[in-house]
Amino acid sequence: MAEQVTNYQCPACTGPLHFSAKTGKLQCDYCGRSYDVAVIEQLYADREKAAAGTEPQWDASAAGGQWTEEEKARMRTYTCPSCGAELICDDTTAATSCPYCGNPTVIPGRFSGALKPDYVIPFRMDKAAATEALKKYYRGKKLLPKEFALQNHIEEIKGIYVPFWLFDGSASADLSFLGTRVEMFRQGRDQVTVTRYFRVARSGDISFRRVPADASSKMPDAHMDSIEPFRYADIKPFSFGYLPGFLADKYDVDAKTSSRRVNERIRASTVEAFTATVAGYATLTPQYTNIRLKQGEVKYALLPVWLLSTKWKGKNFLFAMNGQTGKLIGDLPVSWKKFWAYFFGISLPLIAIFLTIALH
Amino acid sequence: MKRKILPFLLFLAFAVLLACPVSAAGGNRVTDGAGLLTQAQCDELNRRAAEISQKYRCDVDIVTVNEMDGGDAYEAAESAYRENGLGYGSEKSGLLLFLSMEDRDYALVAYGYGNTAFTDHGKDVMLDDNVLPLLRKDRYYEAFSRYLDLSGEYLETARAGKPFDVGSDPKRKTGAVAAAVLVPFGIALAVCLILKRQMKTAVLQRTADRYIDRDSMHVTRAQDVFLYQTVTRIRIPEESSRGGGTTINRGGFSGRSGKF
Repeated sequence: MAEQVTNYQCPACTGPLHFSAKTGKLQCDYCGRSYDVAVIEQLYADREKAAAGTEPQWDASAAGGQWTEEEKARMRTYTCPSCGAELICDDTTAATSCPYCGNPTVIPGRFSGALKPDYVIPFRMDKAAATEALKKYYRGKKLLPKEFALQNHIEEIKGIYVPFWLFDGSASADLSFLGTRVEMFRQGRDQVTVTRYFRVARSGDISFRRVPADASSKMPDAHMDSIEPFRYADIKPFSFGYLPGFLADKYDVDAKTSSRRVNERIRASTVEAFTATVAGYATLTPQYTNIRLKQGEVKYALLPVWLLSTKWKGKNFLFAMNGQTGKLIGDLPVSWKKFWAYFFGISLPLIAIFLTIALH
Repeated sequence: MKRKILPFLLFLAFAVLLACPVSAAGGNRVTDGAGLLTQAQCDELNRRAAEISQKYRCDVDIVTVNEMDGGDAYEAAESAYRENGLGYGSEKSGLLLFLSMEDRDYALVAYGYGNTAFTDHGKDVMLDDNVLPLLRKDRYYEAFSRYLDLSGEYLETARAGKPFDVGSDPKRKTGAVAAAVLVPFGIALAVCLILKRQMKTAVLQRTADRYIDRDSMHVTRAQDVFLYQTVTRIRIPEESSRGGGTTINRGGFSGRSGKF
């Protein structure tokens, strides 16, 4: 039997494939499976094409603008000696304490440099709404230590414009999966399972608009991710008119650094979106994934956040509320006394009931 | 007087000699037609079986034969039960362990009150976990002895109002008790962990789904190519788990038979 050696690998077991002249197919020496030549060639062609993809180059040159001298003259800066936060505000607003760490002494300084934001989303929720939301947030939490809610100063909640980079971009995807369809039936005294294997391939493009990444190193990413989404319908070109009464943070994480997390999020969403177009399989095992992100535009924006920083037993707790939608998040301390009280309060009566049933 | 006593004594001696190997009639509980037991063993088993029968008003019998008249062991056991007039009282209550040595067949059948005291599950446990393993090793006396011991135990629990069955099996009971303790702990832990998760609401987002430009997604290629198929066959095991109770046939017997 004439056989031609190729260096293709079996998609199922990665063993070498040989062309069998007898069957006219590519055959695996290890698992014995055979494939149409066209199927394997397509698979390899896809891989080569996909391997050419590169990391995206975000274009941050258009992000932000320059302040005019007149604008600079109206700006004030404050620095927190405790956590290093640099805050800006207009000359009608005075900062009294640091919104990030709660430190009561912030040092005024001269405003210098920094980009002027492209956009701003104005606050829609006022302070009263923010304090009310936080009180409500505490109320539903069964494991919250009683003293915690009493001892922190909810009224010290502060409105702050947090700097964000907004990324526009698109992605091209090439995905392939090993899918199985399983059919089970009874034949005589046997349970017969027929598993059919498919190579499932999807390619395509998808665009993303204004994926946000916070540009402040003081602000935990998890907090800002969790108060998403902001409604971009309300986004406005930056204007001084939105500043009075609020502090604004100056960005200290550049667009390139922030883009790493944005890339990951776009990549994951692209994979999910294209995987969702595959249907009708019992199992789907990714075999090959290539996502190529394309250059996009970056903009600099200030987004409204209500913040409360509070200390409890030596630990910092930070609560953040989306100043536009009112979504409030923040990690709370857990009372282990309450945790175990609930645990035994639920389990012991149940055991008593279950045992009574089991023993009769 | 002396002349009358001698024939009677002779008859008694004969009766004792005949009792074991030949007939179950006349109150003998053990009929070892296949000769698997010594005389002393046979007497001992007979005495214990008689005790149980008297105490619980339910006969516990053993019949062994060299060969059957054809048919299967179950039918042979039923006819041995009827023809030898086994069973206690008017209800003919009893349990019979029947062995035919030619093809090593066994049958265990119950009748009358025996159906109540010896449930399907009870008989399964008696055979599979106790009697059959000993029979397979040709340890007949021990097998019969175990059979009598267990019969006594089952009759005792049945007299207390709860025949040994699926629910009263200690192994299953331990499982039920363990589940009754572990399941509530599991439920409580799940509830507490959900409560604890409510305390942590700041989590990193892994995806950017909500920023997908509407209608921007284009699938340029969607291929589903069949590669190969595999077929597996698994023999379906016979239904073995029963809900408890006793399955009685039309003839009024319950039990099972097989080879050992």
